[in-house]
This record gives sequence, structure tokens and C-alpha cells, in this order.
Amino acid sequence: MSDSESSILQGTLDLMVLKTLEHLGPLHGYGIARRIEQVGERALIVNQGTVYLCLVRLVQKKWIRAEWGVSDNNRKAKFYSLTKAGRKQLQAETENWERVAGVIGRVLHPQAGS
Amino acid sequence: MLAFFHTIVARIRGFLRPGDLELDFEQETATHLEMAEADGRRRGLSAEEARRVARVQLGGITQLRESRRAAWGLPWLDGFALDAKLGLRMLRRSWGLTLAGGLAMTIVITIAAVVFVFLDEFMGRTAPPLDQGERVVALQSWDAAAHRRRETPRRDIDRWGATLRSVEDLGGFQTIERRLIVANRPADLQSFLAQVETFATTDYALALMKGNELPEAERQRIAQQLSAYTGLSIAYLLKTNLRIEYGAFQKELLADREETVGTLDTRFIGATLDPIAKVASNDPQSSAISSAYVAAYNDYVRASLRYEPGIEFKSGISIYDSWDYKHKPPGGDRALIALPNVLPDLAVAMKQNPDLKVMVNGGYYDVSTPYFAGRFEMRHLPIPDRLKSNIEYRYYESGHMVYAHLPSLKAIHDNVAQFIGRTEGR
Repeated sequence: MSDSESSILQGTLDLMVLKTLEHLGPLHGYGIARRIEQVGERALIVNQGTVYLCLVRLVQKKWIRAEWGVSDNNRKAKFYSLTKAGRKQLQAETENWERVAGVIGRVLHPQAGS
Repeated sequence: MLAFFHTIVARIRGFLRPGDLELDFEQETATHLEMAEADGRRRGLSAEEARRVARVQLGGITQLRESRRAAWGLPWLDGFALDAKLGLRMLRRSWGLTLAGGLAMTIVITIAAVVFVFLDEFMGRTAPPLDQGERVVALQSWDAAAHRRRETPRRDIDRWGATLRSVEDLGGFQTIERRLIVANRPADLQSFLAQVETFATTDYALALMKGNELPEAERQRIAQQLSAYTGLSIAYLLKTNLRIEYGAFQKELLADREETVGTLDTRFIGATLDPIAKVASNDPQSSAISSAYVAAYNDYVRASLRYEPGIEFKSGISIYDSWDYKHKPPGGDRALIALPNVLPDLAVAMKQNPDLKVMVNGGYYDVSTPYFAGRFEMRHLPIPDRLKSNIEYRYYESGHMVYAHLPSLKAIHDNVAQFIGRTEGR
């Protein structure tokens, strides 16, 4: 992955984590990292450690909350879930992302009449 | 703004109580590594390899610990205090040298800032924004090998996409040499298929059930008939004890020419990769038309749908190793780990909703999911007689990808559209 792709990733990791929690509900860090890897395939190689840094940021902003619980395999794990503020933030960031992606898409793939 | 305030509060709390966060980090990291290791073991890795992969995927733990510590606390407060202490100590010892050093640094930083602004202005220029009515008509890039500019007009790709009617336009078809020697063979396909189906469900099925008790004369007779219907040699069928393994037909039918018949569509023929293999190791159908799928799909999703720019779409991925085969059959109390059979699910759905209509579509030249297998399975569906009429069959002189044959493409379109029209809103 090139530097430019990595920097895009850094800017959007928050969004991906919020979306994952909205989609799958409360989840531990490993589950979130695996989900992002699976969805992104090779195009987004996420160092799993960076997901934890992102989780710290989001907890500090109170967009997600963290609670210790027990995983499916009976392991003590910290589960993260979306807060009301996080849901609102996700909606705002999604709209912003779609708007920017739409503009870039139109610049890169113009067609007659558009 | 509120988020910023929360972050400051959280950081101050982290700065005052670093011990709790350290403990949290150690526990969470240990859980993560355990889960990743268990996943690796499930994928078939050895314990040692799974542990190694888990650590690599997480990244450097020391670095992560430091980054997390910096994210939680107030690292700049520590850094600032240290810098101020060292600066004051230096100023007290030799104030002249300290001031000269400070002045020199100020000059260097100013020069660097000016140079950066200059370079950014003249070398890192961005594309101008489009005005109302303007649009990009070509992409210009620098061809490093030819040392010149290269222009790709947008219209070239559009034209290519517009001319593509179906994958048949790009795929090359061949016809299998007729090797079937069937006495009194019916002229029409349907009658011939009925004859072969009868053989498959009576004489042939009974012979297979008899196993080692099958009399030699009967074995010879079945081999002869099976050879006539499949085109495989009698000697080969006797050697395989009348059983045709998956992939064996494709490999063996034209083995004397070192050619392999397609699996998804037997109309395609290609060179055999391994002439001494027992079963086909390649599918000439895929070699012939997969590139068309890839090109057409990429053009469609990127140019027409403008979906996910920059993402690589793969023509196929290996999922069988990690596929979750667990399936809980209707009425079962637990999910079974086996090749899932969803026909009981379909039967239950049909019983619960007697208006549910089922349409089975298939290609006669598909030996991956053979057409008769569909009929056979449906005949074994545990449903009452009155629901049988809810199932209809449509078969085409094509392969698994029915649409890789233009007349069949039209037929399947009309049939499915009609099916939806007939069953809509019932």
C-alpha cells in the first residue's frame, strides 16, 4: 500500500469503526479489526494495532463506550458499542464522505450529461 | 466542540491515573492475541505459526503501548517540562551560545518555510477545479518508458462497453466431437435425455447398488451402455468400476487429444494441463470467458455505477478454507458441520407458504451442477403432492452460465421475467 492510500485510511478509520459498530453491535477490538480487514480485503491493509488507537480516540470523544465482558469463547474482552453521540457523528461523517466521494467520482469518471 | 472537551477531560484523567490504563492495555492486548491465535489454529496453522502471525498482524506491542500511552495522557506536558528545564540549564551555563543557537535555528526554519512554499506552488500543483459545464475528456499520464506524455480518451472505453452485448461476443466456442454411439438414438434432444435419465435411474443405479455382487456379464453390459451415453471408453469405465468421479469426465473424454472439456460449460475445450491427472485440473470455460467478465464488470461498476473508485475487484477468491459450513436443519436442535443440504429448508418454506413458487433454471452442458441433479433433488423434496405443481423447470442449450449463449440469454430473461410477473403480489 502506498503512503497516499495509508493517509486516506487514517482519515477514514474512525468512520469505518463507527460503521462496524452500528452494523454489528457491541464488539471487541479483535472483531472490529477482522471485520474491517474482511470488508476492505487487500485494498485496506489495516495494522490491527491502529484500530486500538482509533478506539481510544473514539472513547475519549464519547462516540463509543467500552465495557469489559465475556466473549463467545469465554474470554474476558473489552466490548465497544456506539453511543447516541457516536450515531449522530456516524451519520454526519457518512454524509460528508458520500458527498466528497461523489465529487471525486464525477471528476474522475465524467460522462455526457453529468 | 463537545468531543474536543471530552477528549481533554479523558486525557487529564488518563494523565492522573496511568496505572489503570496500563492494566487495561495489557489485558486487552492479551485477549486480542489469544483470539487471533485461536483463529490461526482454526485456519490450520501450527500453534507457533498462529502466535507469530497474530503478533505480526497486531504490530509492535512496545510501539503500540507508547502510542496508546501518548493518546491517553498529556505527553506534551511531560515533553514541555523537560525542554524548559534543559533550556534554562543551558542558558544559565552559557547564555551567549544559547542565544546564537536559537537565532541560527530561527533563520534556518524561516528559509526552509520559504523554500517549501515555493516548491509547493510550482511543483505540487493540483488540477484546477471544473467550471460549470466543463468535464474531463481524457486522462493524461507520463509514460516513463517512452519518456513522453500519454493520453487515454474516455470515449474509447465507452465505445468498447457499448458494443458488448454478451460474453459470447468475446468468448470463442468450440463444439465437442460427437463420440456417442447410441443405437436408435432419438432425433430430438428431449426424447434422448428421457432415455438416458431412465437408464441412470434404473439399470445404472441398480448396478451401482449391487457393488461387488454385480455379475460380470451385467457389469460389461452396463459399461457398454454407459460408454455409449457418455463417450468414455468401456475400458476406462470398467477400470473405474463404473463410477465417474467429479472432474473425471472432463479430463477423460478427449484425453487422447490431450484436451480437457469445460466443467461449467462442456462446449468449451482447452489443452489439458496435466495429461496424467485423474481429474481435470482446469476449466477451459473459465479460461475462455472469465477475462470478459472481469473487463465488463470493471467497466460497469467503475464507469457506469461509479462504485468504490480505487478498490480492486477480484474475479474469484478462495473462501472454501474459511467457509462456515455449519447449518441448522429445520427441526434440528443444533447446527451441523457438514456440507449443508438446504432442500429441507426449501420444503419447510413451501409447506408454510403454499403459494411459494419455485423456478429451477439450468444448462444442459453444465457438468458442475448437472441439469438432471436439479430434477433429481426436487423429486426427493419432502413435500405433499399438491405442492409439486409449484415447481417449474426451464433448461437451456447452454452451460452453468446460461447467458453465455445468446439465444439462451434471451430465453432465460423472458422466462424469469414471466415467472416474476406471474407470481408477483400473490
